[in-house]
Amino acid sequence: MSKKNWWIIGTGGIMGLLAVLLVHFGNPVNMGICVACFLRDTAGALGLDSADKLQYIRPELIGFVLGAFVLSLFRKEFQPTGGSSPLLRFVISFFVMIGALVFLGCPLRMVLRLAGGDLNALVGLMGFTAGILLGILFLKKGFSLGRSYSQPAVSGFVMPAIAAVLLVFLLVRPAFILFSSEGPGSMHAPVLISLAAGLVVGILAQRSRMCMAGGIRDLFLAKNGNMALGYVAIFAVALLGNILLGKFKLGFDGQPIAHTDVIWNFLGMALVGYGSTLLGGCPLRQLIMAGEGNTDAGISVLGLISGAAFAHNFGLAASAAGVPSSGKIAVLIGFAVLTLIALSTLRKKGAAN
Amino acid sequence: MGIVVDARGLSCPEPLLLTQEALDRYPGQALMIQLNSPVARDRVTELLDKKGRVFDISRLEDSFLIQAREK
Repeated sequence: MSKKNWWIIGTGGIMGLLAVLLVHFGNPVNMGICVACFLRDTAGALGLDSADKLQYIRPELIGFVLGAFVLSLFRKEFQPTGGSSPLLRFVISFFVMIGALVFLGCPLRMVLRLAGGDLNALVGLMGFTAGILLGILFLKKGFSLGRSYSQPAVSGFVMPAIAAVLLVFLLVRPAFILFSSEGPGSMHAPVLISLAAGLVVGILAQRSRMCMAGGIRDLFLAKNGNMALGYVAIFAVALLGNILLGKFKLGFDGQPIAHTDVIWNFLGMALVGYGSTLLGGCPLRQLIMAGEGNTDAGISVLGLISGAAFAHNFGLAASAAGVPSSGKIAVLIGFAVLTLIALSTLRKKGAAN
Repeated sequence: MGIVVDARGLSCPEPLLLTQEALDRYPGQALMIQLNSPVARDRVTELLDKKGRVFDISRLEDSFLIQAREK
């Protein structure tokens, strides 16, 4: 086992543990850590959509960005860069969020749902893998969003600054920030616990480069299973924690914040895997890179937030009751748009010269 | 000189794919790989290790230069 493997395994294990603890302290079940859900709730708190049960500025998110920001400064890896097709990244991220909200969770929550015994997440995992394979197909054909370049230093500070402002809003609770009084948005661990957990994850994910899409991608593309070990660690620790706390319940039906529609669990996560591969990283990784000064990843985060707001304004998001037709159509449009982007950005082979 | 792979500013896993492509296309030749993200640096050197190349890394102003050759 190399040192790098231990970082990945350690990061995964601690993430699994924190996810279980966050649920124990008040986060919704199997939602100890879910980047998509957290971004959606934060969009709700800012009034970007009107889902009144999904409004809370999630301190974990703030921790992810600020943890990665501080450690990248410390390790001299903070690099303000950008300019690699930002608007295309916005669009791809938008649809990644639509896919995630049709499945009901980001890749991280998918693993946590699995660790809670939710077998719908197994269908999601198959879809996620299929989506990544589709992305790999285009990568092998020469898909590229183009180069990024150095940016003025200040641009790298924008996302960490937004995270800091959100923290102020969360602590001060001004009247224009909305907080749910019922539903998932009202369920949360105490602010300081969430923030500390977020910081720990941000720091570890910066150090280990943990990426939920990269794990499966590397397994197929580079025959390299290092990163995938992180999943195994998250799963194993969360599974153990759920069993110990009596939260493990095996089956398809009646799982918390989940539906049992096989096709759309598969396709929703496939869209997430596809988009994440085109972006070069899963939603968590986008947040971490945004903290490291990558403004393209910052744009991706904004795309994810917009996707969440639109999903709830237009009734695209799934619920325990199932997936609305408009959500299904949005997922299909997502596949079409991503494929159009992928086909139109193939670089010529042999760019090495 | 040798073969130049310019992977500066490219997202993961493109630097890795370009390096792989260069290794396949120009077997036995020395490679000069330019890139700027620490992640790409780690991934590319991992690949070079696996392929049995020796390399040294120099830090330029805003990028890394990896010079690799066969043992």
